[in-house]
Amino acid sequence: MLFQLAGKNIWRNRRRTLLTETSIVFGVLVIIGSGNFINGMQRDWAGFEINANTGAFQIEHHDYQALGKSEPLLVTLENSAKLVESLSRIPGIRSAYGKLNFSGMVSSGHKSTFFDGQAVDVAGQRKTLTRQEDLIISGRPLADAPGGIILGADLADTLDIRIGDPVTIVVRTFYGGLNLTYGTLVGTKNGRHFPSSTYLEMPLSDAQKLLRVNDRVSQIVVGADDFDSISALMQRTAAVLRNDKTGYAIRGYPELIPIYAQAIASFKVISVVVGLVLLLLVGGGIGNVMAMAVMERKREIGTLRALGMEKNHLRRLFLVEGLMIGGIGATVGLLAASALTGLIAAHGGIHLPPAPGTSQSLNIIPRMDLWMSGFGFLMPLLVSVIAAWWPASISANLSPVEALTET
Amino acid sequence: MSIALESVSKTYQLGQTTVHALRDVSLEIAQGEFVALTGPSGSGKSTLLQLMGALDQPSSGEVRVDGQPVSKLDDRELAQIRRDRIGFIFQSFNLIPVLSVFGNVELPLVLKKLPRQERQEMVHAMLKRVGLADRAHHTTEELSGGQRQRVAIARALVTEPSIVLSDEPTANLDSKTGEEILDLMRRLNQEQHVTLLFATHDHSIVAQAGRVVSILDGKIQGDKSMVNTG
Repeated sequence: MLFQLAGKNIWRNRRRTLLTETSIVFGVLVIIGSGNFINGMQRDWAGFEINANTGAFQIEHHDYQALGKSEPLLVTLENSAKLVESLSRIPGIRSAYGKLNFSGMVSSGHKSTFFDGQAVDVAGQRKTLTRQEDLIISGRPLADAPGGIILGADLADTLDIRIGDPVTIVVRTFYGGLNLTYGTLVGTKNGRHFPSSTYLEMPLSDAQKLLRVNDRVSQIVVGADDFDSISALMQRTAAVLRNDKTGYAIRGYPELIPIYAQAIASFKVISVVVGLVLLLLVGGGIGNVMAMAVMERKREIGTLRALGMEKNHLRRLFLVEGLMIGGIGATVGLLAASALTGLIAAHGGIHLPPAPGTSQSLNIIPRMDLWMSGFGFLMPLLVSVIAAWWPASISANLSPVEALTET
Repeated sequence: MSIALESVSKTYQLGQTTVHALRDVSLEIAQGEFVALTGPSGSGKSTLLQLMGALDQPSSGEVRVDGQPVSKLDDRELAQIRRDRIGFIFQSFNLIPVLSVFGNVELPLVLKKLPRQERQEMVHAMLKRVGLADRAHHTTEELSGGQRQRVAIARALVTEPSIVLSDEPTANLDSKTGEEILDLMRRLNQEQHVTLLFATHDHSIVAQAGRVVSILDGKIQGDKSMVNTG
């Protein structure tokens, strides 16, 4: 009866209820819709970086983070080929390859500068980073043949060289001596997570010979079969590696993309703050509607009190009305957000073109975010109860005589 | 059930003015009486009904329901008395517009937390008695004034209260409908020994009442038992 009465009272003033519901639905749609968009962006961004840059996770020497910048060759993984092979056998790992980080000087013949280099197992990289070509600005990725060099687009500009030009690379070897090799620029590259002004990429075998570090790599980059099982796969891989006496560290993609976690957290905070502001306005609307309902229904309140309704029962009646208003809006908002998300996803998502100077475009397919959906659905319910509390208390505390004599 | 007022006074503050609605009123209504409370507008009739109906507390004196002082009762106990022992019939009917005829009559039974089956049987029986069985699922807006007052009577009586309090029950009805309503109430009084206390200006009610209490300026001026042949 309580719910029936509350429902009929809501229906009584349809236009006012419709306006309030519209504002709630809009608020919920914005909160859940933006949450789904951010979730989709997070997934697509992560998917892009995993397939173009970082892999699902990387394995490195446990001291690499401490010494990798200053002495990268001292914190490398030995017997890397065997390790890559054993990792590749773990179910869920699609492929893995080694990469070696080093630094030195690069020269075009008339201009020279320092570089931060990455030597990669080209065949393994091709299998693991299936979207690395998206980072290529000009030329092509490294081929299996030795001698190819890729430079960051800005570094190529600094050296004033074009595709096909020769470059000279000078490094300090693992043993402390200087060594030199020649290569040919095959491509230029740009990306958010390496400095384009110092980036150099060359085949792993060429670099290992140049640096005198046979079968050593700085990191093993791992590709996973399935995005959603990356965390579990990392745990399985860690369990396998624990049997090895070498101390390994495993770093997942969120850690490998420096601004990833920060950017996603910022987007979510903004989304939650906007949501809370909207809900505050919605709460004001519900409070206003309920307060008007109490004022307009004073005689009814008096009648209900005369018939023997207790204060608490009356308070519950108005709270249920508020809750129903919030619940209807939240449900419709959730359904609308789900439908909109599904519709956009079914039509291929939202395409974001590359930022100026890059070739990386993003195609964001919104995905249901359970946390934001829960927040977007439950908060209006909470807000509606809070907003209805004051009018409900007024109704409960009205003197029956005062209420009955209201004209 | 008996209701007694013992030296009851009630004052209201209207701005700077103190209004003495009742002054040292003592009155006892016994089970089964049909009492008409008469007096001009502003004489204190409605205030007296509100105090007897446990809707309000006196400024001084005591209201006793079956010997129990109302001033000692908390909100829950007062609500229980109104729910279980008192029926109210209002001049403007005070029906709940969002509920059907059936819903309005069922409401006090819901508040009493009776089972659905029992409620339905009681409501149907009561609507039959007031001649509205065929209107159970109509909205109250679809009814005439007399029919609305019958719904209000059914709502007041469905809980089988000991006393029914009514403020001008026929004031908004034409004379023929008023007669019908009054006849219905009188039958209920005679058949079920329901105590009736009506505040009224209506001479036909006064003529049929077993006792007439007249009130003026918050004081009881007369209290007469009538010989009723009706």
